Amino acid sequence: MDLILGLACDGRAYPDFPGEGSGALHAAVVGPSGLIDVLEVQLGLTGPRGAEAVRIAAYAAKLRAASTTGSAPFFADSFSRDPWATAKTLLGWRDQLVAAGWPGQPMGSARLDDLAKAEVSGPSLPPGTADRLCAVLTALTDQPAITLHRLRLVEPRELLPPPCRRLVDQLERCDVTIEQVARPGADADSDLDRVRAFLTTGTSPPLNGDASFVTVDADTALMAAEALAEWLAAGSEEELAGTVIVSCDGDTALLDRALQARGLPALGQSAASPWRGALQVLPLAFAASWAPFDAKALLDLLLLPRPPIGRSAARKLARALAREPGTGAAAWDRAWADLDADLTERFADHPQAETEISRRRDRWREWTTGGLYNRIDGIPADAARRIAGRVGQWAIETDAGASDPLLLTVAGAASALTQAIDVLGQDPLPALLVERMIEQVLAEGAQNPEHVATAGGLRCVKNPASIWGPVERLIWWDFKGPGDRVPTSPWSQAETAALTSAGCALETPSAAAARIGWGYANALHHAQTRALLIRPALSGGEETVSHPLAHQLNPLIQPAGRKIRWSAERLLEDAAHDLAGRRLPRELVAIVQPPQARARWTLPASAVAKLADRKESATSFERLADCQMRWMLLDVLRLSRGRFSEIPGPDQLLGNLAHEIANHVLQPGPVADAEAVLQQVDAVFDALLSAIASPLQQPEFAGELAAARARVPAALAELARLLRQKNLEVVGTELDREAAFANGLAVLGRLDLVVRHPAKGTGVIDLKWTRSANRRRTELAEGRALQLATYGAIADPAAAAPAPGAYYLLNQRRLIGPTGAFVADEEIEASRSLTDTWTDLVETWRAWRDLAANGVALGAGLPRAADHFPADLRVSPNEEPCRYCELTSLCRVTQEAN
Amino acid sequence: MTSAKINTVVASAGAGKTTRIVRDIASEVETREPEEIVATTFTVKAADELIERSRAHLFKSGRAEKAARLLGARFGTVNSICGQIVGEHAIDLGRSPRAEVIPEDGVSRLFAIAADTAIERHAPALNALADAMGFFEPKRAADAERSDWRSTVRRLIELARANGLGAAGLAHSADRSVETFLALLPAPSVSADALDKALQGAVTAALAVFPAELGNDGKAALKLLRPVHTAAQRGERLSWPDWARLSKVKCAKKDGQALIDALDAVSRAAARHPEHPRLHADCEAFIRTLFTCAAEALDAYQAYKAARGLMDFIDQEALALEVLQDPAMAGRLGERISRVFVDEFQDSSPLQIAIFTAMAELVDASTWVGDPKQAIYGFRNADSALTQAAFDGVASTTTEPQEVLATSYRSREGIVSFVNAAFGPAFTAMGLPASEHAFAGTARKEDGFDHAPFAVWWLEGKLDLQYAALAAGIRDAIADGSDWVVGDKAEGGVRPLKAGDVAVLCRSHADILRVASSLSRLGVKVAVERDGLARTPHVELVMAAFRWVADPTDRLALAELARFFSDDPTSDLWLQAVSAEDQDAALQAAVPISTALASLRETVLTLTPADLVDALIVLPEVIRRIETWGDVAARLDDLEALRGFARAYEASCASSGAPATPSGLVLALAADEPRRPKSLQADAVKVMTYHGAKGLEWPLVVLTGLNREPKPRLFEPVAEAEGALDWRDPLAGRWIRYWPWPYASQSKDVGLDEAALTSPLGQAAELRARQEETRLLYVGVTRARDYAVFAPPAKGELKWLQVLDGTAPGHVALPSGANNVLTAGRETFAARVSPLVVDDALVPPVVRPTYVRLTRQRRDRAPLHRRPSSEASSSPFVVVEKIQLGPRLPFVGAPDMLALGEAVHAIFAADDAHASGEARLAKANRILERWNVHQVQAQDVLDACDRLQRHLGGLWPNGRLHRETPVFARLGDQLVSGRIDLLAEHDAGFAVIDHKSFPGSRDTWETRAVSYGPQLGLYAEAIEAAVGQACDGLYIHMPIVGALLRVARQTEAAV
Repeated sequence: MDLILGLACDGRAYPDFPGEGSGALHAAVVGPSGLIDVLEVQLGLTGPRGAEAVRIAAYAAKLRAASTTGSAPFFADSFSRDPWATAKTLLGWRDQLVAAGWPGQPMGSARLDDLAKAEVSGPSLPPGTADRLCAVLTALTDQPAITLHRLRLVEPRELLPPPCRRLVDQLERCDVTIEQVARPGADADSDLDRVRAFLTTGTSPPLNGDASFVTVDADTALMAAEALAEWLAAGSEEELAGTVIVSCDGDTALLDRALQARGLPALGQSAASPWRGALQVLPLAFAASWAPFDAKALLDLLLLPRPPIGRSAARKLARALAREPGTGAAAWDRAWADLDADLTERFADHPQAETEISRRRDRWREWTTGGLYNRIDGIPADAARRIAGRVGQWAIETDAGASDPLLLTVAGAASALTQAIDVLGQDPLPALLVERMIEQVLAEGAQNPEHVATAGGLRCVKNPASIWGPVERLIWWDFKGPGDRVPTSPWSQAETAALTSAGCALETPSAAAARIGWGYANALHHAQTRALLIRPALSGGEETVSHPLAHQLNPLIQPAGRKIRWSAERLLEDAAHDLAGRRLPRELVAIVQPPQARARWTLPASAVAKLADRKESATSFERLADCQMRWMLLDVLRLSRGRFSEIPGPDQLLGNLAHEIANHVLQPGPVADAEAVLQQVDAVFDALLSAIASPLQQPEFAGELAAARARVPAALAELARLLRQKNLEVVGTELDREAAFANGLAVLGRLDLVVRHPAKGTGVIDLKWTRSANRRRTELAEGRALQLATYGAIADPAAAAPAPGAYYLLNQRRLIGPTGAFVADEEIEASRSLTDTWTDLVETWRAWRDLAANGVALGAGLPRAADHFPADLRVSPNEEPCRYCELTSLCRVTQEAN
Repeated sequence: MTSAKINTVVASAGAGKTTRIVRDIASEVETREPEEIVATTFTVKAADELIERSRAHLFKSGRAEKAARLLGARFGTVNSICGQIVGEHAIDLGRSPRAEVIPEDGVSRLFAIAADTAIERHAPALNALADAMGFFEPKRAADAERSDWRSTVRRLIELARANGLGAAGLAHSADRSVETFLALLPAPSVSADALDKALQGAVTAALAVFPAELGNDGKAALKLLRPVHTAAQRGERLSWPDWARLSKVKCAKKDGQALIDALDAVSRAAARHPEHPRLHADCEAFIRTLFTCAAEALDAYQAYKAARGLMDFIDQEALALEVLQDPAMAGRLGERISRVFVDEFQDSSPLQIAIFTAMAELVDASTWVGDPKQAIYGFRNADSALTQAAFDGVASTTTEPQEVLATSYRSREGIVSFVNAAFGPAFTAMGLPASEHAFAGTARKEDGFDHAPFAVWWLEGKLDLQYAALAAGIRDAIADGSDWVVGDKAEGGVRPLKAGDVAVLCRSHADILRVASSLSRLGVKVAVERDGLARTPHVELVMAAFRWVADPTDRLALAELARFFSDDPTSDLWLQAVSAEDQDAALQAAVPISTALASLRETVLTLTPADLVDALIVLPEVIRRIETWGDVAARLDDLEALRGFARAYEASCASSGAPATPSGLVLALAADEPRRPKSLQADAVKVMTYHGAKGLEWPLVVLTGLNREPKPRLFEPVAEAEGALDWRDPLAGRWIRYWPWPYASQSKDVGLDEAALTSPLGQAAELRARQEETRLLYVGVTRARDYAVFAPPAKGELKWLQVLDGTAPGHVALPSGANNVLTAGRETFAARVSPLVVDDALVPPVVRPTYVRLTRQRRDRAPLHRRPSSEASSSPFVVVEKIQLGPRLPFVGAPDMLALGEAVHAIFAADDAHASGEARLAKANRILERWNVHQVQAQDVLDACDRLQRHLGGLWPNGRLHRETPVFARLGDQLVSGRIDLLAEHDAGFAVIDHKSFPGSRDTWETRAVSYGPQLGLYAEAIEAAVGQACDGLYIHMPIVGALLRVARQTEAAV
């Protein structure tokens, strides 16, 4: 066997295989890991490979065992704070030492001796690459027969890091011929040759601008991708062969989409990320298991494109959760009742209906209402295993034998997590530790399985040192810094000396710098006819820095200036471009304006038809009065904003909570005294908080919750006091009312609080949680209390006139109403009574409705809208009707600056 | 006394300090290990320039090896270098070794989570006090920040850490703050009750005399008095802003004398608020509780971060200092660094000075380069007095003269002379003598310039009109570029002014937006960071697509898409679709990319949220639609920022341990309201703050905001220092002063404002503010290469220029009227003066054609790599020969078949038939052991090996067997690679033998064997391509059942 060894040749390298022909037998290009692989097989050293998470867990267990006796090791404090990250870091140190020949014995150096102690403590450590290298080296000591005859090195032998050099030396002792891969020479005098000469000698004549060496600057990575794709598309299919793209950041998704849009092959490099959709089940399943209950995590889990429980069940539960974020709330219970009904119907004819139903029900319950554990104390290991097991099982079941790589990754991650929990031997597991472990198991190999290289001559490598033979056209995509870091050794000079004397040789920073620098220049040395270096100034929104190779080339590039530099943005400005030997044609695009704001729209007949049989509500009236268009779209045409309707913000949650508490403490009949109300609030506060406003329990809302704990009871006690003072009895809270009026107007609403005075009759009180009393005060003063007017009108269908009403401002503890309203404690002089407001509102409704019936919709906040308002509009839109509107993107209210 | 060897270099603006540092570094690497150099600069960009130039210098001078090694040196911002040091010592520091930097916009949420216990404990008291101080009053302006005591707690913590204060330091700060704050108020009155009653009485009396008809003041008074009265009746407390408001109530004469008198009584009673004992008590309690809360939150916050390995910028520095002050850690660090360069030293905070001083003790030599005249980051904890003391202190420890770089390589002669004349007295007053700080001259030449380097543009009219006028002035200057020729840096000589040569410097972000929108209105392209990334049509388009892919029930997103994809900008197709009976179907039909999006949705589980953003941006129809809107480069800048936001969102999820989901990204974008990036386009006018301009230069710089008054920082947490400054002990005597402002929006005429300003601490703060303003103006003027254009409002005092006055007022005067002379002291400078009046003449919009890619056919391509193991074949395989080599492998128990297969395979791969039986057995046993397979005997496996070997030997007596041999081939435009278990090379070609650990019954062998046919067939093709010889034998070896089956394509078998 004949191998080529390059330090960066694990993974993709170029050329694809040794030799000139169209294939190779008994020969391969390998990196250090590949070489160990080959030798292990030959030497009979293969064994099962565990997930890295399991190694870290095992090492954490070793560190813990080593800490239990003797004096505290140097890592004790870090380990107690973050055992996982500490174990991971120290395992990295340990592996590096082992690869460099560390015997693992105490040597009188405190920190090294602590690590040596860990070697012999706790469970055994599954072998890593360093251990495997050592096993290979040991096996090679006896000079066994191996079928490797020749090893050609890509890097100069003296640049190999010590572990690799040890292996090469040992192979040589086993009669393997060690040779050096040759770099092609330069026989012309192109700019590219001059660049190569400069890289070798440090001197060269100035560049001419002959297009053999070009740097492309782009403002953005998007434009850089455009430029590269255009250049490649301007060449022939045959010219793709011999074209190699260096892409150091390991992900070519963006570029590939640009290439594929032009019919070019995809390069197919995908970065491992723990955030791929399918993988989220694992972290979300755990996130929903910590106290306080995180409704958002459960909602996210339920809203996954492929949720772990039935789609329809997930949707229903999600809706309930978004409405009343918590468990145990009425909406949640209703959703479950609904699901039960669905299941009963579905399995009506099933012979084992009960079993089938309860099996599903139990599984859904398990996913949605598992135990809640304290983050600091942790989750019992068994419970963690169960969650991991459930996720793994879900992945396998969902995959159903289809071998979907991502689902298999989830299953693998879940299983690795279980193994790691077993090996770690810690119980319970604090949240931070679990999160670290999940991150670890997800980070391993979670690339996009659908993002693969496609057929054609184009090739891509991740590292410039992966190029070991001639390349016709070299393109360095994302030619930006900072490049590879020169590793900093964690060991002091004394420790390094002790290691050296024990036969453990670590790579010096200067050797590492030389090796890294060699790798950069290597790519250009192999380039034959053309090299393009492409640098975006912004990449992923970040300003980029220059690549170390750019530092080196600076003395040559700088003076050449525009002769060799080309700006990608030029593509936008001309019909044709000459770039690096190719002509890039472009076509003129006809400019159109983005959609513009427009106040008046013509409604199609189908929209007008939907006006029939409508029922308005206080909210729809408010929308209508402010903007007919918004009413039309949201209330009449029911344009959905989607399921991801956010869980309400803290203010709204506080309001909901206060409302719900009010429902509990304000029972029909005489009102309890303030003291009793305080006690009642106290009794239900926490239960209702968990049930419908659990996000407020998240630590970040401690201030808001503390405020609510003080304000809500005080507000309701004060309300009780006021009601009693005014001799008002509660008729009911959250009362549904419906009424019909002239002109076919039907109205329905849910009234917060309806009260009755023995003499003055029925009144309505609307509870509001607001930061400032101003808005409601102004509303009353200006006769725009539309909600109150509406509720008053429907409060008592039997009554001849609308019931008087007041707002109770919970936060300010003010019961405000228009002058004369017997339910109000503080009377605001109103320019229009509630009765008149209602009459005017109905007229306003009629005017807008008629306009709509005539096929016109108006966006009130848009320029010149007022020109089209119906005459005599009694309730005119607010000054800034678009301020809190969710449709501004659709109406194009804001226009862009240049 | 320090033994450190430090030298300081004072470098004036544009005087070539980077060149100087580069030269020094180049000479340093001759005598020391390049990896031991530390060079800190101000920004990532500056650090990048420094390393690039340093390495380039070495490469150019033929010192490639040194240049290569310089990659191992530490170049970076102070934070990145401190972060690196902390990362290397995290375990010594007892922290989590993760050492991650908290994303800036994640800090407040993280703090709220970490410090929840402290916040919860003190929230009831602080909420009540904040309420009394009007913190919860409605915001005065849409862009005003809401008062939140939690931000103050966070700032106190930040300052505590930046000044090396712990719990004791915070307690001391609370004492000092209370003591100094109460000294601002008059002595408390004896009875709070009496003050309350007097006011209530006056209010009640006043309410009784309000007439029915009122003037505006009267109405406002009534609006205020009524709720105050109600509250008082209910026994509620009156807030301090309301006390202040009541102290200012008034009415018109026509409202009647009775009301005038009554309101006068109210205002007199309310005006006693400064002596109210409860105000004193509230403020004291607020200060003390805040500091107590901060001390508790500090511990919790630090512990939270330490456990997670999270750091903010101050942590990086504080922890780096801890490393430097610990003998063991410092010792180890000292082995790796020996030479330190600090650039922009004048902007160092006390903590940073402590770090540089400690580093100086550790290394052979330090060079601190800076310009005390450009210290402008007081609001970011920089301490200019201390850095100036350090410059002076270092200079006094050496007999060598302090090095001064005083020749400008940037600005024209006139600008340099003006700066010397204008700023000299103020700098001298600051202790920066002209002899050390004035420019010695300039290297610029005047050749080719027709005009003096100054202009004064008086801006007429009200504020908005002034900006419109300024925009018109800029537009005209660009239009008449040859009247403003500028130096051509690239080619030499001069050339006409272009838009990209102009920078407008502003005092606030609000001003930037005003200037930018005024310029935009006139059709002048602007490069500016501004609000509303998510509200640009191109980002809205991408995000509408994103929302619909993530949530197919989001029909609003579809409706938006329908609008975006209409060629007619007022088309109502979307409305028709929304109105349709089947709204969903109609909307999808109205969106030309709905099918593409739906198919993207199918892959959404494989994507991260950021991947999905990318996929949508480059979707051909999406990018083409955006291109049709023109101005493509600017839109791509925004889209690049959106990509960055998506990545930052994922990173913030990583640091908080939360999952990253599409819905999460949508919510984060709505909540964070990211800004639009400043465009990198060369042909746009740059608009930015004076602070943002630091370190940059332009041919023409417009200086705005000259009427701005220096404002001392009085009612926000600030670090103060007790006693004389000692730069060698920069954290000594530090405390944090926090004076609360209890009057909310009532900012004037409440007593406290004046008292604070005239107090000794207030006076010191004012002096600091004036000095900082002086330096900021210096930074502004020295950004100009060819022209400095002053753009003051035509009316009102130019208070900013007054900071240059020194002892005599009017030191710098801008020309007015026909006088075209700018004066600075006794010197005069010619200037082009013009009043600018608003002028809405639009520059005829340059309709720039936009060229886009040609439409090319997409092409379905097969995967590049053909994997033998997943190969399928259209041509079926059949078994052509079935050989029973021996018995089944005997098992004891139930082995894990996967592990068994691997182990047996490994034995077949590694067995050496020529080795001794003992050695073979030992190796096979080790393999079984490693795979944890105990159910088979190693000898049985070896026997199976022997049987196979014998059989193959019989088939090909002269053949050679290659085990586990690699094969590669290019087949068409695809690649095949694999490792063949066993390859027999014989006289007629090759045969492939593949081991399969199949344990099934005899009747299932054939089915199983043919299923592997395609894999073997592909090997055969690859071998043929590689060596040009046929491979006609394809064998499946089933060692577990002892069988060898030969397979062939049905077509070949028939032949």
